[in-house]
Amino acid sequence: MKRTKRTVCTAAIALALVAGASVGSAKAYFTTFATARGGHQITVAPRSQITEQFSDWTKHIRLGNTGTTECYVRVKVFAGSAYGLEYNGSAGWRDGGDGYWYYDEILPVGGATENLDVKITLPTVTVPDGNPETTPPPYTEDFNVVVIQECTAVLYGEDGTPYADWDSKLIANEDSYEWEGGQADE
Amino acid sequence: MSDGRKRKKMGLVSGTAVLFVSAIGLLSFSAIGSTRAALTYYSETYTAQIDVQSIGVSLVENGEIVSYRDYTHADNVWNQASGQLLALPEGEQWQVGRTYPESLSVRNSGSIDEYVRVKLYKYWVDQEGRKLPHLSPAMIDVHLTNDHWIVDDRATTAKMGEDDPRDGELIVLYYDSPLAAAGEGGVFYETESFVDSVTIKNDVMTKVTETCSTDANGWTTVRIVYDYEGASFVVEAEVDAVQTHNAQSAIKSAWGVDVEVDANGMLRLR
Repeated sequence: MKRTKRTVCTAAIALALVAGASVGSAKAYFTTFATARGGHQITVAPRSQITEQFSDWTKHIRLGNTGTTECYVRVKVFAGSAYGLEYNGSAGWRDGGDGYWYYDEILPVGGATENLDVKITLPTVTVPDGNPETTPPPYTEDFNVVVIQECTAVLYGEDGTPYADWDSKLIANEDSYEWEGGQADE
Repeated sequence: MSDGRKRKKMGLVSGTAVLFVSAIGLLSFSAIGSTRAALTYYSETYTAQIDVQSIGVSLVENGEIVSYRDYTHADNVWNQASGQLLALPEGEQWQVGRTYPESLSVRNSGSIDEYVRVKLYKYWVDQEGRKLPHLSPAMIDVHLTNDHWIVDDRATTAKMGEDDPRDGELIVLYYDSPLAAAGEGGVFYETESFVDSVTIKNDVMTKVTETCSTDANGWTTVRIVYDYEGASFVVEAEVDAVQTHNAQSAIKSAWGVDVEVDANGMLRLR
């Protein structure tokens, strides 16, 4: 039995050596390769900040791009029904007809819009002699005129034409989560 | 010891001897084979001074060679270089949604005919260059031409259609014809483009991760983070070339795939 095993082992080793020699010849093909790579960082989260000045019953609104990517901006102003709002946009501003005023130009990083002036018309009151007239200054009533500013990323069509998609909706991924009773992040 | 047992033992010894001699014989043939191979090799090197056979391949981007690796017999060296894809003019940023023309093809820069394949990788990395596997490679739209290029669907892991559930980073392509070596006058032959444009999909603008937390006073904070903010996309192309002589075995050995090659040299994946 021992001799038989030895014979089998010897034969196996011989076969392995012969097979090994064949593998050596199989490697002898001409081959080569070439590689290259490239890419770019993208920024997708636009940010903007509002700056307001108030004089002569007029709000002078200006928006600045404080993010790291170019963006489009728009503005909406709210006031009580008794107060009138009269827009006077500088170059670049356009009434969208939906309550918003749009700045049509792309706002570059660090850039700012031209002024959008919103004149506030004070309500008319009845003076003691019974004639309605515009409230004479000084006007002492408290009231709020709220300015909302929004920004959205600049999107590009296939041909490189820029556009804004104000109707796009954010899609939370499946990893989004929530919990209760925890410490707020900020 | 009886005669019968003696004969049996003698028989075993002679069997062992025969096997041993056979093994020596096989090994000798193996050695002779190697010696013959070595002689053939040196003979080819000698004759190469007249008929130089060198393999070489180049990756061509928009008509310009961006990467190559060519063997030169004369110096017995590999000439090689690797460049950068998707370069933009200084100061220009990549615009999401815009389709950038990006023609990628393969040139035979050697002196023998060859078959070529391309492995295309696309993925996202952070600012330190670490891969971000949770970001979708499908957002990097590398548009294939499918012009003479065969997609190896089994090796490909990337999304190849709207209904394809895969979302890996690899696309493997085989050129279906042999790529001829440079002709007379140094005219190099190229494949058709395997890619003609690259677009980062606008969808990256809307993907967010939302977290909510409520503090002890009952105030809830909702935090929205853009998934792709600050990430970098990467497109990587690896071109492989192998000799056309004994193509099936060469491709099997070099690339590990089974192919069929018809009489016209047209290649088909099995």
